[in-house]
Amino acid sequence: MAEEEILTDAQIERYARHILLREVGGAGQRRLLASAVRIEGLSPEGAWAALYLALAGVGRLVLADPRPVPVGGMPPLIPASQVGAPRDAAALAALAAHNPDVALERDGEAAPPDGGSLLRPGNAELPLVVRAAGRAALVGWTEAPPCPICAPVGEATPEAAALAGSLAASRALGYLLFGAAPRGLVRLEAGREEALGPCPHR
Amino acid sequence: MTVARTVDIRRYRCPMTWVRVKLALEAIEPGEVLEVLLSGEEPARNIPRSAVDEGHEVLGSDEGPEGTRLWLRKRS
Repeated sequence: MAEEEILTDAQIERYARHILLREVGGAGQRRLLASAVRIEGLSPEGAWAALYLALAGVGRLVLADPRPVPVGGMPPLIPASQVGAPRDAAALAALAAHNPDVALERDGEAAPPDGGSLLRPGNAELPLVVRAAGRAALVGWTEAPPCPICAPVGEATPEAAALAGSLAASRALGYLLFGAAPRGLVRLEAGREEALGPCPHR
Repeated sequence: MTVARTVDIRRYRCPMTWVRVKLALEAIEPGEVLEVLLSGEEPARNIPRSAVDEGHEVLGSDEGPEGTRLWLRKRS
């Protein structure tokens, strides 16, 4: 089947940078478009990750976080005008404007996340539940807090939130493309935690 | 030489020229030949270089009234 029959002209323009990458290419972009990612917990980091994943062309994003949008919104994804709205609903409305290829869903049945920040030790706020389309197995990821470098104490700054979101999105994309679990992460499956690799700083 | 596929990139500009060629290379089998129809100095210089960088073989080129035809063999 010809590539042009799989990726439209608009998609080729939209994902040109991915296609140029040896690690992605047209085949990799098709896999991303056929993939699904579930993000539980729209902390600032989760909101950034959702934005990056939508821009990357992950075909289906499921968001789950009924907590209200805080005062000031959650820039750059959720504007301040959405204060008080459920975070997942507000994020879906914002993401819809970013990439027409992404099917967006809200899981209103999800349990409320713990709160707190990805960058706090012991916190499991950002489980990225990654599911390849057509596969029943769910694999959740969250940052392991094995060392101060991995998990500095304190609130995340906007810069740290952006970095954490970018990192989380990159790891999810890497998993979707290569199926390899990154280092220093914990997999959450059916409520059971399993270390996937050592802390990268030791 | 049997050409498996032809891609016309004359209406595109860098980097979309290589994007289109790369997608066309992905669509053929290893060892098969892709014919690229291009025009201008930039793609004539950069497409062969990018192809070699990614391990493909430049078989040759021919200039004609429609533009330059370049033949690439996809890496095995």
